[in-house]
Amino acid sequence: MPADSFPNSKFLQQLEAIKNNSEPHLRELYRYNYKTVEKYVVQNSGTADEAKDIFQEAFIAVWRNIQLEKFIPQTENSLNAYIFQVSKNKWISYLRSAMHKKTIGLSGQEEKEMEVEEINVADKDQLDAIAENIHKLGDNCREILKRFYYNKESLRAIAAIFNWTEATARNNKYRCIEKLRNLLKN
Amino acid sequence: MNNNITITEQELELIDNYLAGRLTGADKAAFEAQLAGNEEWKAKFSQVKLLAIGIQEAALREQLPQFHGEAEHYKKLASVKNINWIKRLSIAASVIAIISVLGWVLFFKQPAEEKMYTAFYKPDPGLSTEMGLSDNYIFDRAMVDYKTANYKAALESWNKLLAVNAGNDTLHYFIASAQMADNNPTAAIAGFDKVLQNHQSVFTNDALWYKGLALLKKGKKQEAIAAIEKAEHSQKQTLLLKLKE
Repeated sequence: MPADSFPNSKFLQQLEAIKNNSEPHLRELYRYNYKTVEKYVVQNSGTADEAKDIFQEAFIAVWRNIQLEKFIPQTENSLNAYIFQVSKNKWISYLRSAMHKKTIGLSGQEEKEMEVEEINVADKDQLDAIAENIHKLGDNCREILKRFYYNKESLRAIAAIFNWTEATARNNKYRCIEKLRNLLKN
Repeated sequence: MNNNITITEQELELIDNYLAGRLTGADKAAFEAQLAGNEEWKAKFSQVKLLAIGIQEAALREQLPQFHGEAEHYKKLASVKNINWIKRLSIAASVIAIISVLGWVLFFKQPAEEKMYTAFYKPDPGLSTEMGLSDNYIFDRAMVDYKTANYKAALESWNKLLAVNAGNDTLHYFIASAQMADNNPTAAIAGFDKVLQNHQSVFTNDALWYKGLALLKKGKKQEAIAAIEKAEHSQKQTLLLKLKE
C-alpha cells in the first residue's frame, strides 16, 4: 500500500478546515485543482469557459459530498483525484448530451466513469430551491444565516456585530430560517 | 422534503448544536437515541441539516468567482513568469558578463563552485500579489515579505500553511526559494526535491535550476551538473560549459 494511502494528521486538519469552509483552504483547493481540469477539458473538445463551469459544479458537488459524508477522503491525493474524477464525469455527461453527442468525441478514448455517489433527487431539488430562495430574504437575514452556518460564527459574535443580545440573535436566526422555510413551501 | 413540519426555536437550537459538534456526553447520546427511534425528529433533523448545507452552498457559490479570478491570476503569473525568465535572464546575462569582468577580483577568494553560484544565482522574483483580491490571505502576505527580503517572516507564514497543505508544490517551491535566499542551501535542496516529486508542477524547471545552484553552493559540482542538465533554462548551456571547463 503506498504511503499516501494512510490518512495523516495534517491532512485531517486540512479536511476539517475544508468542512468548516476555511476560505484560504477552499481557495487553495480550487486553485490547485482547476488547472488540471481545465487542461483536461480543453484537450477534450472544450473551451476554458466550459472548463470553468464544469469545474465549479464539480467543486460544489465535492464540497457537498464531504459535508454530507458521502465522500470521506483519506489523503490529499485521494481528494484531488476525486475532484478530477467528478469534473471528468460531468464533462463526459456534457459531451454526451443531445447537443454534442453527434459531433464531438473524447479524443478516441473509451472513458470509464468512476462511481461517484450523488445525493438523491429530492435533496438536490431542495438544495437548488434554497439557493434560489435565499436571495429573496432580506439583507440582515442572509447575513445572519451566512455568518452562523457558513462562517461558523457564534451567536455571541453575531449579536455583537448587530448590537443585539445573544437571545435576540438566536431568535432572529430562527425567524430567518422560518422565512426561508416558508419561501420553500411556495 | 416536508417543509410543513413544525420546528420550534428550541428544536432548531438543539439540532444546530448537534450539527456543530457542540453536544457532548449524555446530551449527545440522548439526541442520537431520539434520532434513531423517532421518525418525526429524524425528519426535523434532516430538514435542518439540508437547510444548513443549502445556506452554506449558496455562500460558497458566491465565493467561486473570486476563487476563479485568483486561479486565473496565478495561472497567468505562472506563464508570464516563464516568459519573463527569458527577458530577465537576458538582462541577467549582460549583468553577469559585466560582473565577470569588473568583479572578478572579488571572486578570487571563493572556491570555484561558489564563484559560479555567485555569478548565476538571482533569487526568484516571486509572484505578484493583489491584496484587494487576497485580503487576509497568508500566502500573499508572506509573498510580500519574501519580495522585501524578509525571508524569515515569509518562511514562518508559509510553513504554517504547509502544515495543512503538505502536498502543495507552490508552497514547497517558495519555501525552498526563501531558504535559498536566506543562505540555507541544504534546506532549499530538500524543498526543491519535494517540488520535483510532482511531475506536473509548473515550478519543475525552476526547481531543477535552483537545486543545481544550491548544490553548487555546497560544492557538489557533479550533482549540480546532473540537476542543471535536466532543467530547461536559457542560462543552462552557459553554466554547464563553465562547470565542465
